[in-house]
Amino acid sequence: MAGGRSAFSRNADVYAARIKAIIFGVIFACALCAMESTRLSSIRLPLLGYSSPMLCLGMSVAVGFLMGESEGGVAGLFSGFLCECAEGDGIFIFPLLYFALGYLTGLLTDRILGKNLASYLVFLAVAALVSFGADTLLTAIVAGGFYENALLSLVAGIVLTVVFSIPIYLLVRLYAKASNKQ
Amino acid sequence: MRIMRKVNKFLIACISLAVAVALFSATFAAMGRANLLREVGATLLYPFQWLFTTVGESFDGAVRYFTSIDELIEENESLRAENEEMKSQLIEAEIIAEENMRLYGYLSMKELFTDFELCQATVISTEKVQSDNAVYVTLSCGSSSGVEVNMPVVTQTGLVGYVCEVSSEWCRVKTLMSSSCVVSALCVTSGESGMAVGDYSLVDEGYFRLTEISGDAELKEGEIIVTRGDGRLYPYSVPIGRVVSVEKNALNRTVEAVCQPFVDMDFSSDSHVMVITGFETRQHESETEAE
Repeated sequence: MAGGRSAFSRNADVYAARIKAIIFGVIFACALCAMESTRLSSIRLPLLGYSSPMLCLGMSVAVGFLMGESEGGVAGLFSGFLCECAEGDGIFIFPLLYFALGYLTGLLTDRILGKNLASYLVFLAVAALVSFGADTLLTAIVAGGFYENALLSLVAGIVLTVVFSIPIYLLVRLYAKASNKQ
Repeated sequence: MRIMRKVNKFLIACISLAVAVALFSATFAAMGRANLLREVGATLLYPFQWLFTTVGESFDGAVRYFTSIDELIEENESLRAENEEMKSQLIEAEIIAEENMRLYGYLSMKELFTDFELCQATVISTEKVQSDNAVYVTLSCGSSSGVEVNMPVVTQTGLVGYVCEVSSEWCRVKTLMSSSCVVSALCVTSGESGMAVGDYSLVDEGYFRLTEISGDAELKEGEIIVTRGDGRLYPYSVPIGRVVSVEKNALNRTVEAVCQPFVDMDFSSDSHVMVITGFETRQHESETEAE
């Protein structure tokens, strides 16, 4: 066919694109998780105290927001597994939680708010609230009570997550545009 | 409702996978291998964590180089001052330690010879005078400290010699290595008596001679020589030296020995010795029995 491409080569391109996406996603998730558990593991905000940003959650929500619910779910599943391995308490609740948040973000994106940075930050703030809240609740159940300044730490975590996830959103948007996913 | 219709195989598969991972971890925890899955993830993350930690520390170091220069200068100055103070304390401690050792020797001698009156002195100089066949040592104490001519001079290890010249603030000692220094001596093991005499020809080797020992004496190498204490000049039982070699004198049918003094006569300046300014006269037991 003049100017056309066979179905085989089109499928090969799709598979190649998916493999590239998987490789990019794995490396990106590992880098974010490593950064979250080393250099950004304890940041102090004035008046709010110490916390750390959930970069992997930011990535999962960004992928779900920009690339669809399936991609968001898979990203959340994998990055949740990494977070559990790096900083979790062994219950392995993070994979399920991040999967749910990434999937639901992708599902609700076009229905509630538009596709822009402000909408993304709103989704992320809600997701961070759910995630930090679940983590705080679990810690309280295990420790037999909330620790001092738990609420302030929760607010600090949400603020840090929103602030540090802005470059993540921009990177994922760049990749989505390059792969024509958006 | 539209949302509910989105439930599909993919969603079920992912939820199943997440639940399975949680169940597996709980099972492994019950089996005592709670960290199995975490080890897998941690192995994957390790290179990234190492990279970020290394880069972060390098960056922190570079930032600290510029931001904390004033603190470093201040810390350097305070450490320099502290170092100077510690150096002076160390010198002081060394002086005190040396004095302590000297006083310990003094105390040991006092404990051993409770009837001795001792005067500490520092060696100012040492000289070998060939014309006198003598080795002299000049000390830092004199008549103002109660030192008189003919007083014996010792260290904690043994006999040095006797005072031959005194001034108010210094005195001169003729050591055992001098040919005219004669000490009435006793062999501790064999009980033989003799005379410890300096021999200038043996000065460089650091030896002296033991003479006037009876011809049938059983003198052996290694035997210890002490003062006999019968000449009123030297107290009894002050260590002198050790026998190095024994030879018979065929002319007068006596035995002679070459001995090594216990005291190293190559005194450096600031070495410390003691002048015995007073002692109770004691004699060897055989002499008292004879009396």
